Formats: sequence, C-alpha cells, structure tokens
Amino acid sequence: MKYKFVSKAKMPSPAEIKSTMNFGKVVANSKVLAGAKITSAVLKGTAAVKSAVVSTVSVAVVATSTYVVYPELFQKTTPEPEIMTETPFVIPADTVATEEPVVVDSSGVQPSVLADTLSSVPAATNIRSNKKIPRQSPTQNDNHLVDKNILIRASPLPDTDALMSHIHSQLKYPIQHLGDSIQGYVKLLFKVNEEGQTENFKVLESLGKAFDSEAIRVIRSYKKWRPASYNGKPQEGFFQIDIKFEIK
Amino acid sequence: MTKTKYSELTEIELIEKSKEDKTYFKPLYEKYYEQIFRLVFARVQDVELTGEITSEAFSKTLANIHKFEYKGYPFSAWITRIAINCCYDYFRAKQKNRMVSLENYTTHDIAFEIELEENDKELWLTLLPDILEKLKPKDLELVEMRFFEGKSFAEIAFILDITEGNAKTRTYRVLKRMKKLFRQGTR
Repeated sequence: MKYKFVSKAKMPSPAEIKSTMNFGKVVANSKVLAGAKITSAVLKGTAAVKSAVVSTVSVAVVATSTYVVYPELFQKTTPEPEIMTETPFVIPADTVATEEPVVVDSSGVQPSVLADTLSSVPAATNIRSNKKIPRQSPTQNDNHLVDKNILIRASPLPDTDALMSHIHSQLKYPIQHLGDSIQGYVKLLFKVNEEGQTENFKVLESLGKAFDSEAIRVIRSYKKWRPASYNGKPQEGFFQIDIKFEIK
Repeated sequence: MTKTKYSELTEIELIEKSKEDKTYFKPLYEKYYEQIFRLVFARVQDVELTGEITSEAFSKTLANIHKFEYKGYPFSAWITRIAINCCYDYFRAKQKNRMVSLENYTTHDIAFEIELEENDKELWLTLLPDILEKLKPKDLELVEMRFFEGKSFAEIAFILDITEGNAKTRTYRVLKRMKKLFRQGTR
C-alpha cells in the first residue's frame, strides 16, 4: 500500500495554520541545518503521528475457477499439487436486494455453484513453490494419507454464511433503477492478496453501472478474509461471486 | 536613504538581505506559510505534523538561501520543491503512506480528461483506490499539482526536477493509463 485514501480532505482553518507558525524555531533550526548535516527533527521521531485517516480500501482473497480469465496460468503449469480437498469450493451465492424493508426471499435463491477447478490459482502458486519447495512424499498420519503440498483457497472469515449475511444486510437495490424492474446477477471476480485484502475487482457480468458499483461496494466493505495458502504460506488467490439483485 | 521597512523591499531584495540577516526572511515566511502549509496538509492530513514538516521545510530554505538565484522561477516554487521533498523524506523515514483525497478525483477537470459520464461517477469512485495504487508517487504528484493545485507545467517541472516537456508528456500518459485501468475495471 503506497497510499492511504480519505474520501474527503480536511480543510485546516487559517487560525489553526497561524497557530503552528513559529519563526524563531525556523531560524534556530536553519542555523543547525546550516552548521552540520544532521537529520531533521521531524524524522528523529518527535512527531506523534496521529493516524487520522480512514482507509477506504478493503481487502479480500478468494479462490475461483479462473480458466477463462487466466488461461496463461495453465500453459505454464508444472505438475499440479495434489490437494486434499474433498469437495469443490462452493458458494451458495446469492443475496436478494429488496426494495421494501428488507425481506429475504430465500426461495428465490438459486445457489450458483462456482465449480472450483482446483487447478488455476493453485497452478500459479505451484510455479513459484516448485522452485523452492522440494516435493515431499505423502506421510502417514492418523490413518489418513496426507500430502504435504496443500493448497487452501481464500475464503471469507469466519465462514461463507457470514459473508452471505453481510451481503444480505448491506446490499441495497439502486434507487434510481426501481422503476426499471431490473433483476439478475452481477458476477464479480476479485483478488485476495497475501494479507487478506481484496483488490482488482472485475465485473464479469454486468447489470448496469449502478448495480456493479453497489456489488463492489458491498464486497469491499467485508474485510475479513483468509488468504489462500500453499503449504501454509499465504498466496494470492481469486474469488468469484454472484450477487443477485431482485425486486420483491 | 536606506530602506528599512520590510514592506518597501521587493521579494528579491528581501531574499538578498536574508542571505546576510535572517530576520529579513520573516516577511517571506509569513507570506508563504499558509500556501506551503496547505500543500503539505493535503499530503499528510494532520495539523500538528504538517506544522512540523512545514517548519522543517522553511528551516531548510533559510539554511540554503544563499544558494537561491533568481532563474525565472518564483521563490514559492523553490520552497514548494523543498517542502515536497521534506514530505517524501518523512514518508520514507517513518514508513507512512501519503494521503490521497478521493473527492478531488471527481472534479470537473479530471472527469473531463478521463471522459467520465455523469452516471460513471459512482463506479469511478469505487474503483479509484485500486487505480491510484498502481501509479507511482511522482505520477500522482503530477496529476494532483496540475489539476487540483492548478500549477503550470513549467512550475511542476521545476518542483519535480524534470523538464517541462517531460512533465506534459507524463501527465497525459498517466491520465491515459488511469482511463485504461478504469475501462478494464468496468469491463
């Protein structure tokens, strides 16, 4: 993170600015600076830095099927890690935005399954990992065969249900489109980096600008993500999700 | 008759006199303090800290004032250059991040350059952090100084120590890049 973002800059009042003026100090410091090349007083650590800033960037990490989006990963792929995952990662994806005081229509929810092909992102991690980590042979543990090359996908914390209920509570149908009776999905793909922060949002299927930005806003506002990991090391991962807008 | 009052002296005379006697720097200090303070504040967003960095910048200015020669750039540009370098010294030494106000990026000029339409604005604001994160600090400075602080390319070039042509080229290249990133994001 190179920058911190604030949505609106504060404006100091002229009185506040005046109160920080101190010509005597400037003259005194300038003599010191002119005399010897020493590091500045500010840098010496006298400044108590208040972080009066709200970062507007949230982070998320998710693993998804990236066959289409990142075909090049496949071409570079060396032997895939054997992964001890029993079921593909599934997101029962949808939340419903209602225009009336929020009533969730669970019957209308079509679970969209993100068939997680366990290869795409893992493949990327594998390229890196293979250079450093020699492949280890499976070890016997509690009568289960455990392979050491383990990839864990990025996922929301504490679980997917929490993300779903977060979306339920936060998602609002864009007011300006209330008359248009638009319904459907916004499909989002985004990256969850090693620190568990979401970035690089891509709209794979759009419903319109207002819907897209609402969907991105809601996902951004969810800050708890566990990054993908390969053999215990955090990795970048991708996460795909469908967000359903519905008028009830 | 010798001129004794500050107000009777021109800026250049004041600078010349400051080289001998530091008290002559005071009117210059008072004249430019607010301008520099606001400049630093935009990047730091903290009154106390800004005060220290600004004061630091003026100290450096005064310590090196004998090096200043009038070469067609205003004295304020020289102080600005010192102040901006002080800011980045600070960010580097303290591992702090430069503050960026997103609100500015929806202003008319930028919206025009990026060719934003009215209904794009919300999405633009949403994607903005990701886009800006990809820009180098110097490129960000170029855009902010040109569009939010309204400086001329010649002045920006002097402040950032690049040529005027380069400042111009880079600014529009950055805008083009932001536009491209935005289109990618909305695809």
